[in-house]
Amino acid sequence: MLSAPTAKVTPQGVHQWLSEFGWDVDSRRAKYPTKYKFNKNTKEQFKLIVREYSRMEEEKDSRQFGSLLDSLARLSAGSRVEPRWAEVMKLVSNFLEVGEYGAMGTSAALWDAVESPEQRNGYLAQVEDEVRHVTQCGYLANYFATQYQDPAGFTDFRKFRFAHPFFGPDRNCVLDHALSGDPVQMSVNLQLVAEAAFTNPLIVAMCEVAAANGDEVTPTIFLSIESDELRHMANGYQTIVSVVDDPDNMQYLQTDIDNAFWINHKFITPFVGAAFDYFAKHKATPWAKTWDKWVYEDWGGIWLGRLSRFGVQSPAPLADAKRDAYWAHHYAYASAWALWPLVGVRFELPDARDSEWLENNYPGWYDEIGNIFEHWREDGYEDPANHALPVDLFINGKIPVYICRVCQMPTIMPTFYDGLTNVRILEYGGRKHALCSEWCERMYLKEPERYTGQNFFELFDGWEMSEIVRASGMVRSDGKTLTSQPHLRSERLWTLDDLQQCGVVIRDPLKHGQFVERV
Amino acid sequence: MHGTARRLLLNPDFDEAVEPFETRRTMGYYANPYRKRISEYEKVLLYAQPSPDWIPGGLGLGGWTGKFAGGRGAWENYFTEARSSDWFAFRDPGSRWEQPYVKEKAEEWRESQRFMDSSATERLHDDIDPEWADRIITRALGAFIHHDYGLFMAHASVVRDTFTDVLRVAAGTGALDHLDTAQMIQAQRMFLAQLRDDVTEEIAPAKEAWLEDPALQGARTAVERLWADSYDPVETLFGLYMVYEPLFGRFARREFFHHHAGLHGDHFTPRTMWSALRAGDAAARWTFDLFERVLAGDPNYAAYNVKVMRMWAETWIPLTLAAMADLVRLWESTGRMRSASAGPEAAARRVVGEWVTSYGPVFGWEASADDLVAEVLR
Repeated sequence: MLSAPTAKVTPQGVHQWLSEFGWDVDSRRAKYPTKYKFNKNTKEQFKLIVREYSRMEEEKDSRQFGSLLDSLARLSAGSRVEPRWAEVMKLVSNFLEVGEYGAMGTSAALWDAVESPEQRNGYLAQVEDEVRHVTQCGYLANYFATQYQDPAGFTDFRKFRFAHPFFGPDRNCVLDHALSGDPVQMSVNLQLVAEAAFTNPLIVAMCEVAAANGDEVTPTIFLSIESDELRHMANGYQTIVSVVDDPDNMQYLQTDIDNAFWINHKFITPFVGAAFDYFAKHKATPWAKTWDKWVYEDWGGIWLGRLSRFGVQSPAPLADAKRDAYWAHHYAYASAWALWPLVGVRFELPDARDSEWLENNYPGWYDEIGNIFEHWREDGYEDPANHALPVDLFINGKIPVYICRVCQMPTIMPTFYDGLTNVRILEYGGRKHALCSEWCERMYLKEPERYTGQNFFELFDGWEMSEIVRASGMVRSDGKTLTSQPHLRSERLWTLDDLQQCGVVIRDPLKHGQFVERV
Repeated sequence: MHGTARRLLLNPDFDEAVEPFETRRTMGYYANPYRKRISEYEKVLLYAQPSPDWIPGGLGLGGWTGKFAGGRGAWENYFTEARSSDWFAFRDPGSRWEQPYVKEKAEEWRESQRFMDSSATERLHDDIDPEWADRIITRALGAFIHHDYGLFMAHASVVRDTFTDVLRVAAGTGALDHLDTAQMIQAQRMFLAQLRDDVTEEIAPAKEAWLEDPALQGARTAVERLWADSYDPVETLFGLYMVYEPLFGRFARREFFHHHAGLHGDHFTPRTMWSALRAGDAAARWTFDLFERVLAGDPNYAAYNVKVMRMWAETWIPLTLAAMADLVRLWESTGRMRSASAGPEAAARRVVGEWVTSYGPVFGWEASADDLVAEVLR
């Protein structure tokens, strides 16, 4: 053995020089400039270089793909899932993917905008993490498509999602708002709110529910995703730290936090709640409690509490959101079931066991909404022979439902009653605009030019429902049986003809007063 | 967890085969496979970007519902001068999505750590010519920390702004590769600084060279322009990967650092440059797919795109040739180079010759190799 000199280079050793890699150029401006002033010397908690980062992610990939391709494949884990739960994973895998995709753009805008080399390094790693998460969501859908009893919906969601009534609010919340705007506002949207407040219930708590329903595939992938999210929360925290010591910045920050929280909450709270409390056959903690624990106490209290010394407060809409979290997901499920042919999954009305659990955990549930589900079941809306759709409830009752111009959610949340009484309609730029709440109205009044896109009802105004399904390709390989079904049975499946015979047409309620009519 | 929850993975109820609801298990019937069958790379990535159909190739409809102040949407056709009938036609032929990419980089890291360990045992660092150690490793190569860092930054708004998932991911790997090169140059300097007195890990002499050495000012100008002044993401990719990297990049990385390191007993710089060359090669594959197959081969906009590329080339070729011309000065840096190097002209002829036969024809650039070499050697 030769006597050798010792020389070691560690990733952290290289990283410590990173802050000197840049150089000053007076004329240089970020292509995504911000109204905030950054502290150039902000440090970052992510002390890794590209190769060490790659080593870490390779290890995670190796464990995840190893499990999926070996033990879980040999156990046919993708076919051992409670069907009701597997169906919601068609929605979750795709809707989460949209958020991860948006986050790629957000991280890139921040990497362009920030001035600290350590932060740039952290944001580039986040870009690659988001690539990872997008592909993980795609892999999850593909995995189920190859094993689960009903691959339809796992296969083609990226194509037909544009005709899905809840894709608009999903994309609006987790993509459009996350990557369009001031970069710091983007960071607040993505990292301080979506990742720090909502990925815990969406990803961590969901693993518990998934496992309870026989789904070992989702936790294998989601927990691997969440291990990156912790780093993203730190990125967001450091972004805030890099702006809070300038008092001028504080005039914007609280408003940006309030708005970002409300936009994220409006979609994610009811969506995840419906997945937990309705799609799970074997239920875990009621969503309202999960929300309280992760969003209200952990995020609103502890996480934002750490920023209170800088003058940051919990978002003003947090109290309203807490009220929403009790009821909104019940109405989200009801409105999805009312429009079931466009939802892309098979899902059923709550059975007696569900109803008992829901009443026990949400006292007043039956009187508030359970009776509607019962009415839909008793009146035979699951059976194609009756040629009727549950949106009859809205047609017959002449219940006006709008889509909020800012959050893109239907104005039926947290309850029908509250939705109806809170809605406000404005005219601007030659168009009418419905707004669901004072929080969305506040955003709209300040910057109406940011919210000009058409909503679902406007896009499909005048379309008969089977035509939407046909045009989007939301049918099975026989070309006629619907991908969506209002039950989980293998018989009495709805076809395009059955749907056409219902004669239901989507309408723009801002023009016609109703969002559906029968022809 | 409440009493009703239980784990069901091994529940015997699920051991009974369930009749499938649907026989078609393959996704992506709407996507055109790049090769015979749709690949895993395409399954996990393609059409992840939810573009409306007014951005060509998009599957969606309607507009963006949350926009920038002033009304600019998440992605708009006006982000680039280039036109495509289908932006989703692009593919990275190397299929470098996240999993294969981090695997490759992790392998490189393990290999470079093993090399550093064993090279110290073998005292390979003793072979380095002192003049090369000071003037090149400490200063000129050190300056390439900033060079590649600047190019890494040039990718930021590209990754934000491009129109498709697969292109965004390819550009992201380009960014990682450039940052990695910057970091590994510093890793090499840190390693050698522990073993030799004439190499320092300090960034200051490297930054001084980057900001003041006349041999590097052309490169600095080009990098700063790519980073800060190019707002069109496709133009930035064109300037960087169709012009600057295949000309200046090869001239510096391969012809100067890689080829001359051996002449000076430097076993380390070729290792560092090797992964940069590999990154350049991987990038060239997808660059050609974008600019040659997709844009210059577009069924509707081919002639228009070629014209746009020529317009872009008018900006980036002069900047690149100026950077090469400045770099020629480095060939005088050491006694060994002055006496034994084949010289900058041979290097320029190789690089320019390759570019004129492979890259120029993509957009009908007809300048002769001799004219371009004369610009470099002016």
